[in-house]
Amino acid sequence: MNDAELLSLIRNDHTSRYGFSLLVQQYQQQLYWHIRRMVVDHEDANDLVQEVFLKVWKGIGSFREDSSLFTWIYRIASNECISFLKKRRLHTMIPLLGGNRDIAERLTEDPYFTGDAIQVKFQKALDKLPPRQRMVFHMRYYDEMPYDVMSEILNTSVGALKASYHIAAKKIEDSMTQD
Amino acid sequence: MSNRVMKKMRHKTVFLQNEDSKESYRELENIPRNNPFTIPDGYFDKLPSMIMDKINPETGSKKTFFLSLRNMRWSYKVALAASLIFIALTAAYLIFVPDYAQRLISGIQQITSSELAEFDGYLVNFDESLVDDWIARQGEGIRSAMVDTASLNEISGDDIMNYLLAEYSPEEFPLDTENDLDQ
Repeated sequence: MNDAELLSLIRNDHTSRYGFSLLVQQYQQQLYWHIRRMVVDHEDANDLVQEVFLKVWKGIGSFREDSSLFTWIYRIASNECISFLKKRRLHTMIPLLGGNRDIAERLTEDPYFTGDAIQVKFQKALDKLPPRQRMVFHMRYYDEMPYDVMSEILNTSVGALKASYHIAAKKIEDSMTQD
Repeated sequence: MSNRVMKKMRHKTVFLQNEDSKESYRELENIPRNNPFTIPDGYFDKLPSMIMDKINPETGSKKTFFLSLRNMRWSYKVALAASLIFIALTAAYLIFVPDYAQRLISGIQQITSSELAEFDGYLVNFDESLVDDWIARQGEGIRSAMVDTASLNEISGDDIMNYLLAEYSPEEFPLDTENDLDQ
């Protein structure tokens, strides 16, 4: 179903819930994996994806269609992820909140992680990147998203995104060869 | 930051933009792009109903609140409990120390309008993300980076530039590269 059809259903009082459930089904997997790669933990990704869809529901009335629905939803999800990761970095300061565990240790105990030692090392290298740089890397490396689409979602110039990806890739390479 | 460092950063950013298109990353090519993460069985079958339950106006905010409290992680529960204790203690202090409210009001009355205007201006211009980043970096060894004044004088513009490029994404800097480079 295309954007116009979905929005038409959602904006009609009688079909809004049905329309929104279709939107959730259409975007849930893309959004979940976008978030999951950023936050790593399934429980965090689950909380965040629900939070994002709640924000979409609350904001869809004021969606001006300047961009596609996909871009708008991805932008909300990206902002939520970055805010979450910034907060998590603050939590590493407070051991009582349990946020100071090493990522390798967390992944080893994670029942929803099946990666090998190289993947653990890779995730460890990713974890060292600043949140926005990590997001740029994921969108390019995993999703192979074109820079102009990334530019629209992250509201950043294509040149800056290319530079960001290059720096992130270099940092990861350095980290992989050093550790 | 000096103009010289800013100018170098702009040049470096433009250089890196071009690097991305022509360089491959050998170390990354060795990492399989398969997804190392999994999800609970039937997760995507259940997710839409979990979301639709939350946006259901009939369930109301009360149910949503208790559901979220029940599902809340222990760390957040600890933070919530600490906040409630703090509020209770503050309320008790206000109730049982009668002079406090009076002293608070007279203290507020002594603030002049120019002091208020100055404070207001401070809040408007204050970038709280700087504090967030600073606090976050405390845990990453900022103390070890604290050096005496003599050492600070030895830090060059290149050192600052390299540090900024290592720690931040170029898009976090308000650089108008094309226009700035023409200057």
